[in-house]
Amino acid sequence: MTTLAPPLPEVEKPAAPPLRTARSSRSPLRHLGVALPGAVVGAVVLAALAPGLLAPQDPLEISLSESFAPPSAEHLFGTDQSGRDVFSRVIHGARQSLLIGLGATAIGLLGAMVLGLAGGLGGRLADGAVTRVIEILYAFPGILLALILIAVYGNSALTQMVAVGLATMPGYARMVRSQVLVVRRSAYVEAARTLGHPPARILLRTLLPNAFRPLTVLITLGVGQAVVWAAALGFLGMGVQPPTAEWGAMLNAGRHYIQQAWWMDFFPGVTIVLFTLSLTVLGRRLQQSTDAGALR
Amino acid sequence: MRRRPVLIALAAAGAGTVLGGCGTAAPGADLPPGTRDGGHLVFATDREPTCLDPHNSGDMPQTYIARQYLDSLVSMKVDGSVVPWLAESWEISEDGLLYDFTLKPGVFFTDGDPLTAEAVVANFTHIMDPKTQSSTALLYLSPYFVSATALSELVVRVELKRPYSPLLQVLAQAFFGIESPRSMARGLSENCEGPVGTGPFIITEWKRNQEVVMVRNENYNSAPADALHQGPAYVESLTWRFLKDNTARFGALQSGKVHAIFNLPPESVPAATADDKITTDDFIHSCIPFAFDLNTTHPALADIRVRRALVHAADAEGIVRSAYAGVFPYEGNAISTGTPFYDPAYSLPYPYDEQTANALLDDAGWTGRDEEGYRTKDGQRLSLRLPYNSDPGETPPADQTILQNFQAMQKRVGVEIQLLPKDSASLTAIRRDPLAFDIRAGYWNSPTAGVMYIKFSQETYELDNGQNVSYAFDAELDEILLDAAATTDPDLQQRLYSQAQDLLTAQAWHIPLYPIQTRLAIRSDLVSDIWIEPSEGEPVLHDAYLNREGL
Repeated sequence: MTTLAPPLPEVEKPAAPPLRTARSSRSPLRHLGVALPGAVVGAVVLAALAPGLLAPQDPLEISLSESFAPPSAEHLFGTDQSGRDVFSRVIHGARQSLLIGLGATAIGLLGAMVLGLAGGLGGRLADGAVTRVIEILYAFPGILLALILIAVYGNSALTQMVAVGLATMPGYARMVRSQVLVVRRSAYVEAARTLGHPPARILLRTLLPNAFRPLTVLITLGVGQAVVWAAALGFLGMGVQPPTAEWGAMLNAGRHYIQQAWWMDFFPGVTIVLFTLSLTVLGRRLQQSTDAGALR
Repeated sequence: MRRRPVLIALAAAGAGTVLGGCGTAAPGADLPPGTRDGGHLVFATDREPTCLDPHNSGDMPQTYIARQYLDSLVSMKVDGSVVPWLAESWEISEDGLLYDFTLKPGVFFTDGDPLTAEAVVANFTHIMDPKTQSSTALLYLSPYFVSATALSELVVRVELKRPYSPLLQVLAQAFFGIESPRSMARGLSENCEGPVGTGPFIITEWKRNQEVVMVRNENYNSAPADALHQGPAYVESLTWRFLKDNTARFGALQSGKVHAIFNLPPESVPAATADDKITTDDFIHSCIPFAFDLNTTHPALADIRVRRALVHAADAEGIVRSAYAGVFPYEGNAISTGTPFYDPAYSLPYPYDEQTANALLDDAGWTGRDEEGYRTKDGQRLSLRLPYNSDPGETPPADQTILQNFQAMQKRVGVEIQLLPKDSASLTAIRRDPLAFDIRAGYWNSPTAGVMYIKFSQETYELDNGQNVSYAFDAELDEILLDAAATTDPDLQQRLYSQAQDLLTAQAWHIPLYPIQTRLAIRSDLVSDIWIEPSEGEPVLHDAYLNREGL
């Protein structure tokens, strides 16, 4: 993990990516490029919603005689030092990771919305204040901010969500603010105002949805980023505590045994990579299609 | 009593390989051949002491490092016998109440003051002084100690209120290292930073979270009689480095950045065995094994049936084997195999037996079940809190595995174990609060079977210093252990200590798991003659020298 802020596309960039030609959008490869990551994300979501459906065993059930068993038909991903089934733990870990990923993104967005709207609509003074707040938040390394919060408020899924959410907030906030600035001067807002719509209605019905639309792409990318962050905190021992199944904590437990039981780190690691990669691919696709749509 | 060989006298195996292979410039490798003298030794360990004065507190990391700069009155050998160190001779009165130690003449503290009887008296006074906050050394002395007096310039008399046959072995520990009175007079906090002794090394700097740097005491003339050589240490300087992360510590050894490491991680044993440049040395301590202490002030744990059920359900042997991969043996007795008067009859007291555990819990009235499957009684869940140290390096991965395994095993019989991660400060804060925890994991190293008295006596209970963690005692056990300490007849001692092991096993106040070991891994191509002394398993670096070509 290198940076906390989700990769932000330039909002006000003048040129949109080139339009896809009809031919390329119908190619089978392109379908595969959506179907594969879609399947991965779908599987993870299913694992998070109903882990019992996929996991063959209780993720916490130990079997002392089976510790460090390599991957086999019985234990697809092998077993860990207590003989727990790594496959079942990876599946059960999805809920924790997804919960924190979604929760953190929601918290980050909510905070960003408040800051962005205040900055975009509140006049020069408020805008100055908001911009400073965003800059200060930006100046803090995200992981440090998260660690401070966890040190102060203790270890829990909620603290983790808030910590990661706060750390991702400045990125979203900057985006919302600039979107609001663009949209408020747009012709349709002008029209709504001329029609005499009350300010609250303009805000909720016209301004917010339009300012928010480009964010959907960011959210997709942001969830993946937040999952990586949650796993990083788990790896540092700052997330949920073992033996609870969580991808980052599993990586941390496995690293001590990497020379004798590579599967303990390999499978949770690959899962994190595949899941976040899939979200990123889907997010980019979404971005391309909305950009394309916007030009039509 | 069974002990593994302690001394690793490593011939410079394959002198030509000193610089071969590793590709790193090992410290000291550039020294002229044919001499043991000189060079810089780097030793890495897992835990950092909170205070370098071992009279204060009394945690194991203190004794390991203190051995390098403090000398004790006597030194203990592997067979349990005691040989001269700062005391060149001693006499014990018939009734076992008076010990007269005659000190070696011409010994000086590294601050220049001479070692005198008065200085030794000041050390006993310092240990007994509540301001020193000793929780280990004090416990060894307080049930017996009356006074220490200087009979002459070099003769000290220690007077006891009742006979204490293991006293000499006890005094061999670095917890009883003799410090300069001037050093101790500076006050606790300053003395913690760098106590002054007569030892082979002198502390120059303590870089917190990194290392303690020491230089050789050029005037050292007080090595113990069982040292490999007399006179100053071979190496000129010594770095005692703290590498808390197991993987990093072992990696530093493999790459030759350190010469030897303390506590070879069990998960690195296969790699260490496969590496012909690395030699390992294990020593099983005389101790109360690493165990779960059951707090009997908890209403459920006050019931012996519940305590026994927990032991039966734990599969202690299985959870140790799984966590330590066979590297650490299981020990079910109240004391370790390395402890004098260990009785093998109690080594596997409670076999894994879920059925018996369930029956005992039913019998104790924990018959209800809640929605999560845990047992209940009068609507209360049978739930026990087990705090553990979550600071880096404090609870090694294998011990974390043991905690998790224990939790999972107890769940099978409907007992909830709450694992509560705590930092060191919060753990210290709840140490003396029986209401803050129900189970604690810990061990107690000691060169004597009398450690059972330290851990489970009414006296320690009343001292309330956080050592009798089970908050349990038994008048009969106290009497047996005091009688055993009072006699010097080995047959009688064996009989009494066996009775004590029997009683402790029956009470199930603790669930013993594995004996504490000093496990060294040494780059034997780079360094020779690091050995482990047996009173506390302290590594001894005074005799160590760096290997070099042509030696």
